[in-house]
Amino acid sequence: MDAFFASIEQLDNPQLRGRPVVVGYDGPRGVVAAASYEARKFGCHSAQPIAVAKRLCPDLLIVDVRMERYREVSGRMFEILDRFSPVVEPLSVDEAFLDLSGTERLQGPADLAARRIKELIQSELSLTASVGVAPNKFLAKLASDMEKPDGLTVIRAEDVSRVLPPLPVSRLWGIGRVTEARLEAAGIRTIGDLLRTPAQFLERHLGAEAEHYMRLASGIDARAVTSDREAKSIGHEQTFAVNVSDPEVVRKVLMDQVELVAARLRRHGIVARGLSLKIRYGQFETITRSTTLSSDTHVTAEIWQAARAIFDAWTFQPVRLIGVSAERLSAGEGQLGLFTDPGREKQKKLDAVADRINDKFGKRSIRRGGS
Amino acid sequence: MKVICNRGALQEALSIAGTVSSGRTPKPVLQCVKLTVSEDRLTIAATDLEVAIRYSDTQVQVEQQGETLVMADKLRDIVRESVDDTLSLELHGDQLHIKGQDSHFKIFTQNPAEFPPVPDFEGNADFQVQGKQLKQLISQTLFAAAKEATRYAFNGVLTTVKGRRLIMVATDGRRLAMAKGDLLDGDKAQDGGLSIVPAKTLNLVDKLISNPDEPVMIKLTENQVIFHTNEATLTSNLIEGQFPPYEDVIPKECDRKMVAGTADLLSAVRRSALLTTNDSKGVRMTFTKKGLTLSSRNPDAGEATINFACKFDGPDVEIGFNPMFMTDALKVVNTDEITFELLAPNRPGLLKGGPNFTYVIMPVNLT
Repeated sequence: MDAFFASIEQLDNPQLRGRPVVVGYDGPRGVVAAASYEARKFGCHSAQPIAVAKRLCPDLLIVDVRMERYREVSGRMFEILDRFSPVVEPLSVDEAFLDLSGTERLQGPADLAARRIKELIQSELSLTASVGVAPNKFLAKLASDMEKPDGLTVIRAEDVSRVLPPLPVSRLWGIGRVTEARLEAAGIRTIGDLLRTPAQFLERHLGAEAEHYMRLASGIDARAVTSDREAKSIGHEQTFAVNVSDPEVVRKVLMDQVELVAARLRRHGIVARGLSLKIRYGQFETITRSTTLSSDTHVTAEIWQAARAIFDAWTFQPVRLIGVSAERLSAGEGQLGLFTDPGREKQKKLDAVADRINDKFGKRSIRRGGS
Repeated sequence: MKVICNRGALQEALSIAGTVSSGRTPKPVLQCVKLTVSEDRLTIAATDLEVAIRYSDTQVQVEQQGETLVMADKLRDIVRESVDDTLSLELHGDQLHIKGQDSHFKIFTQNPAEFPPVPDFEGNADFQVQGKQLKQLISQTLFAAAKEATRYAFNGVLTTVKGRRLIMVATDGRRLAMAKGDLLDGDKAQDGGLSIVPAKTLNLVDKLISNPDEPVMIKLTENQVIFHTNEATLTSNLIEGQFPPYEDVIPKECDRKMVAGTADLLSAVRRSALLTTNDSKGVRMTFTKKGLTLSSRNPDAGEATINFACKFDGPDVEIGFNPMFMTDALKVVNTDEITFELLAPNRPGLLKGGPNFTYVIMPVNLT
């Protein structure tokens, strides 16, 4: 999606349209969560301190993050994507991979489907999306970034040797600022430069990863699109603009995340055996704590019980990021039980009702109070 | 304290005591075994505060009585690795000297007074069971108990006396095994309460019974069970919690019944399980007048069909079962023939091996 959070704000509030807007917390330690294209012209971008953005753009409008609203729109976006392929891999709240192989007979060639997706997002959500169509995930992501906003870019196998070489090496997945600087020092700036570099020389700079980057640079990426159904884990995490020092606030966010994760498990008819919590606190220290659930489950109350136990056992410090992920997923063994557990049956009914309401009235229509 | 021990007997005693003393305990003293040399024997005591054992080793020559406390794993390793027929254990000050022909170990000891009390068997037994009978009851039920269930009652075996018979029941919530056995003659046991004995305890009892003909004395109190064999006294806490209403889930009136040879059915189920997947462990079983067809399918590997000839009365039915749940039971049945009764694809199956072994198994949803 294009400038997802900012675009939703502009959609909901006509006064923001056509003006430089960033979403974020307007405080001393606030960070830009998203910048509208108008703001980007001034050099504003996400992850930038709000103070810097304000300096770059004196007329900047700053609006608070409304995560629930973004999630709701995100849910509707995924519902549109689900119509086009059974294999949809969410990359974030507003990005996804679709495996369109084998869907040609139903909906024509992939670039036509891509156009149709854009149209539906425009007509149903009044938002714009940029879509990339390519033979693999790396190239598709690259293509989707090439003509933002409202772009549609197709990279065919035969285009690779023309499109990739002029691009900077930082466009390769996994090459961050540090590696980029190291390569630049060695005179390697573009993907073309990288391709011309002898393998041995490259290994000295990139180590064991050299071969992997070489393959990406040649447009080769064998990773399959994996939907929730085949995913190894299903999780949600949220970064706060500042360290949150109220444990109850963090707990509430965690509970929301557990509900979303459990609902996704149920939607795909899968169960989880393991659960892990990720907490970033203080000076960006991060811990991950895992536990085994008492039985394979997708019952919200059972997952929440495990998540809460981990969270409460942790000595609280102001939190920067909290995330929960359900792991060791399976389709469930279909094994029936001898004894019905009345408490569990009740929870299952509760989940089913909540799911139905949320399906009908949009995500987050109903949710749990505290416990 | 000084005693000369037969190494084999001592090793046996230490390995049994070692399963009680835990390496992972917040209390270091619980990693120890207490050695007590009395007139004619060496007694080894260990406890993890849930289970406590006193094991008597009489294959010893007592030179001087006394007692000491040593690290269980160190002593066990030394005795295991030694090559001598006999070893001498001598306490000098706070060191235990273990001497073989060419070896001399000195290990530090701790104050035996710090060790928690490990009770002996006192008074009369509530009832007695022949060793091999108890071993059979354990083997026919223990496998069906859960390993680490949050419903604690599932981690043990319900043990009760009813009508002069000992009944044991175990379940993990998906299958249930019940075995009945006779008490020893002349026992005047009263019908007892329902005690849930931890799986770990019964594993140990099974190991303790060295002679199939020896009587095992059992005493049940409100929160403890005590087993007494020739060599050992084992005291264990019972599991607190409510055992599920197991009698309610044993099907009473089934309209479909198969009769089959135990060994043949075991073989057929084992073969049909070779191509199940990790995800869906179900084997499809189709019962008709012609017999039983077992089939399984693994999308990545292939499929299996076994046509098993057997007697079946009642309307045709197709039902899925976890083959492991079937083989678990067929392995411990001690009759040549079993009966398997069914009602419907979503109702439990009832497997019986004679009047004393009853097994209830819930089906798997076939998709």
